[in-house]
Amino acid sequence: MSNIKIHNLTKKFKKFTALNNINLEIKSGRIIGLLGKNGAGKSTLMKCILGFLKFEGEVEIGNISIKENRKEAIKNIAFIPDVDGLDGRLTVQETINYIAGVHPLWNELTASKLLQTANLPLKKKVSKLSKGMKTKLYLILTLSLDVDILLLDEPTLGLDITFRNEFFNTILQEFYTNDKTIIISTHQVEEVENILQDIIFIDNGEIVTYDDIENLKNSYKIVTLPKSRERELESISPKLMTHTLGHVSGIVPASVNLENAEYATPSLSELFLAKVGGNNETV
Amino acid sequence: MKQFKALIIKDFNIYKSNFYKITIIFLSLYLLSVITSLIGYYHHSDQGHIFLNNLSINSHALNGFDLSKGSFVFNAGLTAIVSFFFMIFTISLSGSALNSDFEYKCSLFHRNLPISIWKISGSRFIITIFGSFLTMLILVLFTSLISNIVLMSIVKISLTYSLLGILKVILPYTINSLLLASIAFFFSSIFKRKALGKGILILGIIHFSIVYLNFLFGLHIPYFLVKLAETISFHVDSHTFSQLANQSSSELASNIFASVFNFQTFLKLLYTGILFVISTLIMKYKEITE
Repeated sequence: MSNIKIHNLTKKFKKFTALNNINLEIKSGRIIGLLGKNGAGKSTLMKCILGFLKFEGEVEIGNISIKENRKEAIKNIAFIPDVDGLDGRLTVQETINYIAGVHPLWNELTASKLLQTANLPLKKKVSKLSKGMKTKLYLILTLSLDVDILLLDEPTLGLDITFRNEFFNTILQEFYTNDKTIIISTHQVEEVENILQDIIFIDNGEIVTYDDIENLKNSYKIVTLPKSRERELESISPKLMTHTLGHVSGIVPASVNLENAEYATPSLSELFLAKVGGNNETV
Repeated sequence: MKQFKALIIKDFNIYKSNFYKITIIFLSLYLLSVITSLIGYYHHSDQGHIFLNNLSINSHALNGFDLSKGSFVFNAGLTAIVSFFFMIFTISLSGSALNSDFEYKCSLFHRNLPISIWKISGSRFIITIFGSFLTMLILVLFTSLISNIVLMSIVKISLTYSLLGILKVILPYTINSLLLASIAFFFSSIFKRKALGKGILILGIIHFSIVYLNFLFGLHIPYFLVKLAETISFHVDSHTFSQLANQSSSELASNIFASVFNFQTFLKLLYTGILFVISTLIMKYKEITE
């Protein structure tokens, strides 16, 4: 089992600090969501983990330093950035043969099984495939690798809802076991919320929260009061206040108890806004 | 080895259409020349007969020159034409060898695989440069074969001298192309897009800066481009051609090999190796962004 350790990671693009002194130890066997606004540093963090970018600090995957031995360190990681990132100059069959030939953890049995159900046009150029077909191909390539870690960086961007659901369902069915780690960076947090176990909130290049989702949800609650009691709500400094017809709501610590108030469990995006700030359009 | 084989096959699959295209262009040109010749012959059949009749050769006028040695000159000329175009083709192909993944937005896909950058770079070098050379060799041999068959109907042909003619041109062309393509390969490791154009532009700027500095301050900075042009010398070895009549095929062969396998060639191969190593190191330490 490989886990990811990040020590004092700082990434600067000229004068702009994209990641500022990140320290993380990502546990094995978890499904982790990486949530942040646009430009918060999600993709940069993933690219640093994979050694695509230079950075200050250290990243270790399964105790192997990405800086010292990138080839060995990334052997156990599969990465899906965007399904359009496949090489369009190759045919489907050529792409499969290529990965099978170069990756030491390629599992021919799994690949054959997945290919049988996928019904992909093997002789067709990847560039000529529909986005849905490309997704299927990327999934087959990734799921046929016996790796421990899967990194997904906005993988379903531009896909329609059917393929987005199919994408995550296939990953859960074919890849995830208790000893495998999946890190998902996505804007569409609602569609992965129910599969995530842990969450990382990132903002302005810094880790705001890294917690078990259940823990996080149990630490906060949404309290709703009639509009006439707005001042009462304001007095306990809620994290996020929203106004609805005749009512006012806010996210407050779970320990807060107000008489005759309605309580609800906050969603992940609401928790994000409470922790990081901003409005619903930013997530 | 399995990994490198898979890389070679993958790179061949990526570049094979380029090899097919250049082959089709050459074959189309040959076909076009055959068609125009036939049209010309049938439209002016009288003059055609006169031309062919006049081709009868007066053996006294040759002063004992073995006419079959003419196939050396003929094949050298043919090879020079094909090689020149292939030199341009090889340079343009190697000028996008290392950056084409960026252009096709698939560098993250390729570089996320656990493969040594030396293997990736080596495979690209082999396919773009040696792949072009192999295609050139096949086309040169094909061109020579067809041309010699046609020529056999007019004059005596020597297979040995034909092959020596090909070797006389193809060996120095290949070595010089190798060096020039390595420079283009180096550019492709630096620039993400339009590497060849940008590289040539920078070389031009450096050259004219040196000219300007030398002129303005009376300096004697060596001209890099002139040195490069001197290293890649394409001078016609008139000695080989003028002495053709007095040389046996074995003498000619040893002269050809002596003119190619020398210290100058060693230097060119060394520069090629250095450029390959530098290009690969640049790729190794370069950030991968799309």
